[in-house]
Amino acid sequence: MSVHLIFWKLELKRAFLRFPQMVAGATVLLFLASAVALLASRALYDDAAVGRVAVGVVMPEDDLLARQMVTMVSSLDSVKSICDFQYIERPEGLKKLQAGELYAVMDMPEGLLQGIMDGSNPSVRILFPSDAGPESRIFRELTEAGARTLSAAQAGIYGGNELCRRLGREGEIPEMERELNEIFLSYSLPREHYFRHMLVKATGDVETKIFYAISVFVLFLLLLAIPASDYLLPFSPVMKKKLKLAGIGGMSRAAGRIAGLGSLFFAVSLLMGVVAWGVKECFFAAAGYGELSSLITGWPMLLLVCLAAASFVSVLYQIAGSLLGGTMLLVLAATAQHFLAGGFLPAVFLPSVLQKLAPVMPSAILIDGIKVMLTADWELMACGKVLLLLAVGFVLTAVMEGRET
Amino acid sequence: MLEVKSVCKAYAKHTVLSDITFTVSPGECVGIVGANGCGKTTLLSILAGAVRADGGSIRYHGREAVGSPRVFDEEAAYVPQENPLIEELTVRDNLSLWYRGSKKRMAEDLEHGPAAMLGIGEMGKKPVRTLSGGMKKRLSIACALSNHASVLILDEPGAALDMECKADIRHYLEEYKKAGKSIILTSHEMQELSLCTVMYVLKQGKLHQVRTGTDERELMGLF
Repeated sequence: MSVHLIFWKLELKRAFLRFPQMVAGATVLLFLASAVALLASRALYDDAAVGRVAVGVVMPEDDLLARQMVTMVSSLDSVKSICDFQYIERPEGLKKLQAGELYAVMDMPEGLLQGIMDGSNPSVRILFPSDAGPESRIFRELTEAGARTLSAAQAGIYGGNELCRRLGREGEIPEMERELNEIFLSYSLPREHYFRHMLVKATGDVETKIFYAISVFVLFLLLLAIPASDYLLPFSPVMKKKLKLAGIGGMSRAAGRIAGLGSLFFAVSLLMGVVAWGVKECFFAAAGYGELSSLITGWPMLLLVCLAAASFVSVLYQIAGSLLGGTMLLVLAATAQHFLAGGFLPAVFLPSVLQKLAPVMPSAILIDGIKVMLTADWELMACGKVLLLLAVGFVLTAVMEGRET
Repeated sequence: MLEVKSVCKAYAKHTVLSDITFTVSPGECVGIVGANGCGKTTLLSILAGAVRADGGSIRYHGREAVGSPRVFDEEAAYVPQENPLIEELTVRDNLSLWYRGSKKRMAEDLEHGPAAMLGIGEMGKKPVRTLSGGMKKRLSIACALSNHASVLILDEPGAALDMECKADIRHYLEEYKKAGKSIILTSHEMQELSLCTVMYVLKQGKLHQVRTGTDERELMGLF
């Protein structure tokens, strides 16, 4: 057997000697991480944290049509469920906005409805506070969605107009518009059907609970290295010299260490997955989250995620160079980048500067990898990013491990 | 046969070794002494191929080793001052990492080879961390010799070992020498140096030969 294979075999054995400590550590970490995630989830989604969105509406004087339109909009299920509209004068609205009593003020222009009908589209000015919180952002999303719906309807009308003109039937345009409006309204008014079935989540394409389960798992995976800290320390200078003499350089040592830790992560994850599934089957069968199948079909992705997580952790311990330093750096770096990745609070709620950083954070990449595993949607970009994280971690570990000391 | 010619080494502007030239014949034991930090470990590391020399030639049995790691790997058995062992693994695992040869041959060596002679043949399943300092040193020597090299390079082999262990290692080295193999060692202990057939003092980067049997006080005066 080649000296490299023997070395890697021994590295795996060395890693798996830490299996009992890692399982014990995993149990404690899982409890702590679950508690943190639960609190974060409650803070984010409880009524107490994000209450109803109070919006002031400044109406033009004597514009009954505009008032009717606002009443209709405010009665829509999607709006009614989170927004409270109050008619208000402009100065008072601005005052309340500054005082934080309103999350937005809608300043309606003169002749809004006529403008929509004739295509001149006068703008509704919406004022947000400078330090817009989640409530203001939610309202902004709602108004933008409303504007897009209106634009789509107008595009339909314009399309009808053009068709009539092409066919030389300009005289029938008013009748066509009337009928088209009736037909469009008949389809669009029972829109609650759409809203009931289309759930838009800050957490992307997975349920909030599943997102936090994934987020907890990824943080747990990174911190799981703590019980195996001594395995991650660079070899002593003497050992490095001897290994180098035997032809085992930085690359081989990095590969062995990442493979060892990654395999250990994988084994503990599988064990925890099976235990979690067993507990659920015994106590929460009615919940219906039977995900063991995704573990069976998605294990290659899980292995890849574990290896990528191991490479990230390896780099941190190489940088620190000592047991205590490595552990402190791991805790700090793992939690900080997990926050930036939107692991505690979904990235859409983070300031825009931080939102740009989120996709390149290791946790975000690992979270996407686990999503691939759970949804069985083998998105190439997500898989590629996990591979890239693994490769970058490997190269950095190899360079630092190969340094002469 | 080891021939060292004009080997030199400097770290930045500090010259550690300058024009080091000597030979070691089969059955010879060469001792290198000198003050702490004089470059003994650097010299041994260069002879073992663990550190690259800035210039010069090192020939093992006529084969040029400088620039050819394979020659070092096959011809030199290097035992550094600190034990290059993986503490959590067993004695057998550590041996298997360095061993060049089949599993069968390793099992035979554990029964009759250097490992057996050093008294670690029956400790195969013990984790290294449970061994005493002396046993670890013996294991380090056995690991180094797992390539069956004919030149054994030892950096202070007796440091921090008890009397009994030192005596056992000395006994093994005598047997090794009698078998026509060569030893190069550094030490601060006269008993260990009594094994040497040739002695050098390393001072200001240069080797100066001294007669064997020089007493401790006289030797220290030469540092």
